[in-house]
Amino acid sequence: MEASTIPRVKDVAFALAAAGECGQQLGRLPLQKMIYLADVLAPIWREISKPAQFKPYYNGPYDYHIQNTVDALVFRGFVTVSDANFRQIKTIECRYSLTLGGKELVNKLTHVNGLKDDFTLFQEIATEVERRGWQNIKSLVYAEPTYDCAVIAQNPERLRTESPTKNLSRSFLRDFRDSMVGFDGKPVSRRNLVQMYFAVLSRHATIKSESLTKEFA
Amino acid sequence: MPKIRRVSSTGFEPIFSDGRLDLDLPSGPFLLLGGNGLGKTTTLQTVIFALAGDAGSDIEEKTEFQWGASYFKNRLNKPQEAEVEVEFALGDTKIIVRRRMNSRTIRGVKIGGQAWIHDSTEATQKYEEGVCAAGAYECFDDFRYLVHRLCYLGESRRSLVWDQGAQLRIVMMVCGDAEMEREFRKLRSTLKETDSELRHTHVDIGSLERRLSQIETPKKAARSDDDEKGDGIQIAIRISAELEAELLPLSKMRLKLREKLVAIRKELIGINNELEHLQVTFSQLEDAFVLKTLRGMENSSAALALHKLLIHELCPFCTKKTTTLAAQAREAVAQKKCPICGQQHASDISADEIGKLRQEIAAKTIRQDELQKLLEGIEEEEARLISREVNIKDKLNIIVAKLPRVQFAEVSGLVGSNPKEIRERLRTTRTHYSQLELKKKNLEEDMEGKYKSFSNLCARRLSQLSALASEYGNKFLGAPCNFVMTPSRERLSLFSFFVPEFEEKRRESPESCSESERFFLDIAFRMAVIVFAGLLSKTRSTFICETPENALDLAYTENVAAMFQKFSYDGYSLLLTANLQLGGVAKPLLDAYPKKDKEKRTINLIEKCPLSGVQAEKKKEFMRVYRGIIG
Repeated sequence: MEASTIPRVKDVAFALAAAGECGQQLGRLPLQKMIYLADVLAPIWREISKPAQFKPYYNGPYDYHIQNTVDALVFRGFVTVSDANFRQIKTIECRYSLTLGGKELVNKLTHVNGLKDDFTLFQEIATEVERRGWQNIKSLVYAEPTYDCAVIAQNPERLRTESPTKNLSRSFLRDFRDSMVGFDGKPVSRRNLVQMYFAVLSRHATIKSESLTKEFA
Repeated sequence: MPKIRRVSSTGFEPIFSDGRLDLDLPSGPFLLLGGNGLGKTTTLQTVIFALAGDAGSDIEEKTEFQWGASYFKNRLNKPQEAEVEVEFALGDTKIIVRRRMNSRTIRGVKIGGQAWIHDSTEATQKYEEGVCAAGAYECFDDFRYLVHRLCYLGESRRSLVWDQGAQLRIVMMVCGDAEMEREFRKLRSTLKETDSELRHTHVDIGSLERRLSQIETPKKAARSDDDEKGDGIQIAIRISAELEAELLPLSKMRLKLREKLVAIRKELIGINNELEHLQVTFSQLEDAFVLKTLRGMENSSAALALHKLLIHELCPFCTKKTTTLAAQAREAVAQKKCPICGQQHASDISADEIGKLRQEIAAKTIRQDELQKLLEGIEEEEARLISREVNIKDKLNIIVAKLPRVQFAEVSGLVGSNPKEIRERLRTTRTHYSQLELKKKNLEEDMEGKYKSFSNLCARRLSQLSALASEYGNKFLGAPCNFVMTPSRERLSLFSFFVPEFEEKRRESPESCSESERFFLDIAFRMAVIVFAGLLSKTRSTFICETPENALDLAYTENVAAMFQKFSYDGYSLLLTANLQLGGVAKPLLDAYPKKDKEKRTINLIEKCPLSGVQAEKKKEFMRVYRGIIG
């Protein structure tokens, strides 16, 4: 099965589409980070996790499948590249967006039951990141507890976003969801959970940056 | 684990003629060739001593197997001047350690690109820190244990296969994690202590009962100062009885909770495994479905590269017209293959299949969450109970500490004339006994639960290790040999161990094997564990072995050489000793290498060491055998 498919096509297409709705084209690393946030939130959003694929890399969580897939999608005409800038051999900067074909693909996929729901998660993430500025996606991901703990522990293994105990965001959100009920006595909606989660990430990112500033001062 | 690259010993008179021995160890086998008393064992022990210090009581429980700096004192003229320097790689880090043979402290260390550290205290500290960081060890003792008990097979021929304690510790360290192993070892040691205390208490009860029956005649004495003291004791005993009465239901509740906890953990482990599998399948199904949609679009949308190739026959790379490529691509696509590389590139998946799987996973994930929460709740409750128990036990300990100790030796003298007191003591001792029984049961269940968690979590790794060990075993025996997990029959042991099984017989004790089978199946198992640890950590290491070739006949020598060769071809190194004699392992092992390489892979100790009179007479014969080995 594995050899006959391309992994993460859906994630790449949804991330680019959701960012595109906010008028944003994603670079190589922001694309990784956006999909990482979706992986982290997936178990609480749709009760389904992705098998562990992200590793804590130099510039945040990295899954090499994503880059391979986006390159294949560029070749096949679903994704287009703009603002390519070859600074050094290893650091190629560019921005990706969906072509008309790519947008049609997303349109077709979102008509399938369940996948529409996945796309909504990407849209929620894009909205929350947009609110805080796309340049801050890095600090939001660095404040994400699963990644943060792996980096502190210098743990080179994969980030176990699928594990109920290792995905710390999931544990946190689950406890928060179970301890809170809305004003009408109903449980907190998924959308509100995501909004609250990003507020916490934002705050954590600020505290981290303040403590770093103090340390260097 | 360490891969040794270079060894340099100085001041080793009278073992080596000039007191020096320098070895450059290439990847693969390296042999120390010589005769009796020419320093083969000493050289290997020098290397192990440099890497991991002495083998004290923390490595070997039995004193006869312990060794340290004193080993060298009797062999060297000036042990205080003898020194060894070993260069080895631990993962990606190169470490050089220098040790003097008369003490445990390190004389110098150089880690990676850093400068040498020569201050003994600092060097020892940095060495231990450096080893832990480079090898991802939780503590230096783990490294020491692995070096002494896994990577080195010395002349004592300590078995790993039939030493259940050592095997359990090493397999848990390699397949599980060090923290789990340490926690487990602590539990084992507490269980042993509790069991020993239980047996002593049982003896005490017997003594008190005998004593009571001896003095069971009614005897009323007048009140005295001793009686007043006795009143104090009575009050203390009453309070302790009350506390014990309070403690017992708590312990029973905790026991029930523990049972629940074990059951939930079991279900949780099962559901975790299922989910892991389902998530992988789901991810693959979803990818296949997305690919199907993508391919559908490529067949219809003129803007896409594949469409241009299939319909308009334009090369997607250079945009030129190409009917041949288009025909090939059409054929590949018709066969659900990639038009570029020709590999399978499509699957028929319907959205319904994904939907069903999605529902199944979602239901299991919800159950997983429920179980996780339940588990956390019970763990909290258990912690509360434990805290209450500890409180009561503390109070009890204070009271018990003030009471005279009940020992058979004391019983006759101290309470010999007071049957009432003996009865009270008998009662408290019996209560203590039942508490110990409960504690032992708790510990056993705790250990069983932990071991089950370990074996469930690491089931795949254990079966991989078993397959690997069986491969090495086959190489030696030249016939099917399986290393199978077998429940231990030892007292207080609730675990399973790898034992070899061949000729349809499971060899649960070393006595069920011949001498050569015992030695070389143990070597096969060690090499498999080293290779497996290497596969997990993506590093290579060295196995250091005093080849017990005297136990081999001609037929098995080739098999042993093949087994060592397999280990070398897997990328690992061997530092072996062998006698210069006809029919040994050295020749078949080195036959695979060209002559120059053979010389690099051996050292002839006949030329390096002062020979005894008998050896000097046979020097020519030794040299002839050596030339035969290196061709």
